[in-house]
Amino acid sequence: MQASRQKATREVSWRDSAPAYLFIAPAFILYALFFLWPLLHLVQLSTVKWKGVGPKVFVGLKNYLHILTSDPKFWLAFEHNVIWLFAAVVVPIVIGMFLAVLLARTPMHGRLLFRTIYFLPQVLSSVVVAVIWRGMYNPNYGAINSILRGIGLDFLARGWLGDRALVLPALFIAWSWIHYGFCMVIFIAALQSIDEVYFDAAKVDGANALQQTWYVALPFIRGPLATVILLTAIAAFQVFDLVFIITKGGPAGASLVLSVHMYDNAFRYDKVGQGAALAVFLGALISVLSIIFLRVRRRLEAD
Amino acid sequence: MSKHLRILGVLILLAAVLAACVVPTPEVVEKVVTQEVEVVVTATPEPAEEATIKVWYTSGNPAEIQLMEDLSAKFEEAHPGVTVEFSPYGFDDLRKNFKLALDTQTGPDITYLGPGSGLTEGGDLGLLLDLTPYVKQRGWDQAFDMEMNQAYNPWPGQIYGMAYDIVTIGAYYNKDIFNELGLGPPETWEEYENVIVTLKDNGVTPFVTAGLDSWPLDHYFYTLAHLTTPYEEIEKVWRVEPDGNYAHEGFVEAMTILKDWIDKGYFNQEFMAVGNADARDLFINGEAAMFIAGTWNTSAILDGADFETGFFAVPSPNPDLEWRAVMTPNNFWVITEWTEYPDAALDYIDYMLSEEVATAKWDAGDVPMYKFAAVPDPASQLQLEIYDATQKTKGGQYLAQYAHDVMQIQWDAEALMAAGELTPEEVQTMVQEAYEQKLAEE
Repeated sequence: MQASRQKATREVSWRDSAPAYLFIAPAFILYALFFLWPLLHLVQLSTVKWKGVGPKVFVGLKNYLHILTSDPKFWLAFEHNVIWLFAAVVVPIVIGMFLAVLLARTPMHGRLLFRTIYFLPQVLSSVVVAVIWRGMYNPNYGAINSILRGIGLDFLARGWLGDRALVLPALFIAWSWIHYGFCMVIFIAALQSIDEVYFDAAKVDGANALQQTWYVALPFIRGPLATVILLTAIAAFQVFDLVFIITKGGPAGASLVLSVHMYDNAFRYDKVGQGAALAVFLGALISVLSIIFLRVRRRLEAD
Repeated sequence: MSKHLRILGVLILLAAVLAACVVPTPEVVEKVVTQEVEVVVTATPEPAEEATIKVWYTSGNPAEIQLMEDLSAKFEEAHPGVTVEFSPYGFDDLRKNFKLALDTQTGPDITYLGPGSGLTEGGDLGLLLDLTPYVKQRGWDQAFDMEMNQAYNPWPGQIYGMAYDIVTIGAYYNKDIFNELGLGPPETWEEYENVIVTLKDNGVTPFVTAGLDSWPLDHYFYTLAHLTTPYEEIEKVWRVEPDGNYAHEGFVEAMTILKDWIDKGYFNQEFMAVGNADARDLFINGEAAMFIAGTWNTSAILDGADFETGFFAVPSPNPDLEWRAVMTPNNFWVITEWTEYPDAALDYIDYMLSEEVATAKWDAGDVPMYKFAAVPDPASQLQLEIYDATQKTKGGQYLAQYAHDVMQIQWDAEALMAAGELTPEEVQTMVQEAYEQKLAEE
């Protein structure tokens, strides 16, 4: 009887589900056409040697072997992305948290105005941001050197984007300028969801603002914090337009990142297969990163 | 339910995999290299048919784009029934898009593009219309320097592209600064060195360049390399030939001169952090005396500078070599093999190669390749000086035009040299190693 009840349940569920499948079918077809098919095509391209025009020659996994064993720029770019990752999970998040605590917990006028101002870079096109910062870093006319010279700090003015030691941090600063606003709004929402009772209790126990943040706020916002870390980490590996527009990975590869190296291979060097292999590698890397972070987040939320 | 869902999912994925595997490849037309055949045409060209021709054009100059749109409109007026869909592109965008067009055999009927942007690939694959029969038929060989045109058409007996203007790299110079210091455009290398030293000794930055964009600095190297290296060596590396040698002593000498200039402070401060547009602005603002750059900068300089600007071809330090500059046809008009309107496309190109268009381009400040019976009045003194420079020197090549990966290594190595981390010999050795690797991969 139980088996027939289960069988009946399955039959009923399939019939009941059919309209649902019909409703999602159009979206899924679009998804398959514009995401799944290109993804599979990309994987296929990563197994061929091709200049972008003309016949394709199947080479199997040679493109992957090449980038892992014979492409020094791959490891250089990977190193830069890892550095970017570690910086990304600290700098914009710490700045965002600091601003969030100020704007969510500190009584002050103009909180909405400040939130808007700090969030503004997030809504600008990354191309616009890149052009702005490329101008700001100009050694002759840029705002940064002009201000430094104006306040008598001429010795600090330099060619930021032409210095191999400084170019990556310079680009990262521009990137952080976009991202801290996003972190801030997530943390503001999280902080505002904490019951004030907990802060009151902490105040009664003599906790100052910093202690309240550390011992009360942070434990409550572990989930959003993990989400923000995951998203900024993914963004750190996806960074492209800022680097491409400002330096194209130079000077001498000092600011090269994986996405720019992928673009160069596919569209400048006419090595479409290698470019595709880099794209697949980058996608897999981000997926693995996401899985790790999601598991960590689940554990934090469970705690 | 989950079983049905799994089956459905597998079926969709299978369909996607099958679709991915069946990638249409262009039908490769077997190209037969023919001997040059003289075509004598007795019939008159047919009138333009009803047609819509798509034209892809590349230029970074808005004034030039406007001129081309106006000329296309004139062509339409003269050819009722023919509509021109004119699409301007940036250089890199056209390069990417035209290769996609070649791969899918869709897109433009006519393209105006450079050799490294699909001209060679299109010709090799037989995807471009062979213009050879029409060169004599339409009189193009009388109106144009076909030797210069053919320098970029590497198929014996076949012409896939027709160029209609020239660009060259030379020295724009600030006449006001030169006149104040009693200097004039140098005719010899010794005079050139004297100009540089005099400028520097008087607190004037001799040169301005842009290391942030890499290629402007490389243009200084290219210019010097054409003066220090036998042309056959330049051609070899340009054509990516097996015996090409970037470590040739001529290239090393050019890089040594460049390094010497960098070390002596002849360039603008922090030039490695300056982009091309900013470098040009520094020259326009009078903060450097010379700007060695391509003649596509002319209109921006004329518009922006409030001093008189001159132009000269950089003199040669080596009297045993032909005096050459990086002077080439700008880009080439090509017709795609898949065009449905070859006659209309030929008529369009024929118009673009006409004296009327050449005169319009001359009046706009360009240097057409057209052989004028008498040179028209120049639009500016600068244009006349550029034209004179093109008449004095022989043509050259953009060295790594067909090997952008090798070009990137050149740029990287130059940046390291500018930072004092590599010698000129090490730079050229590094480039040669990259070149050999590329040959091995081909």
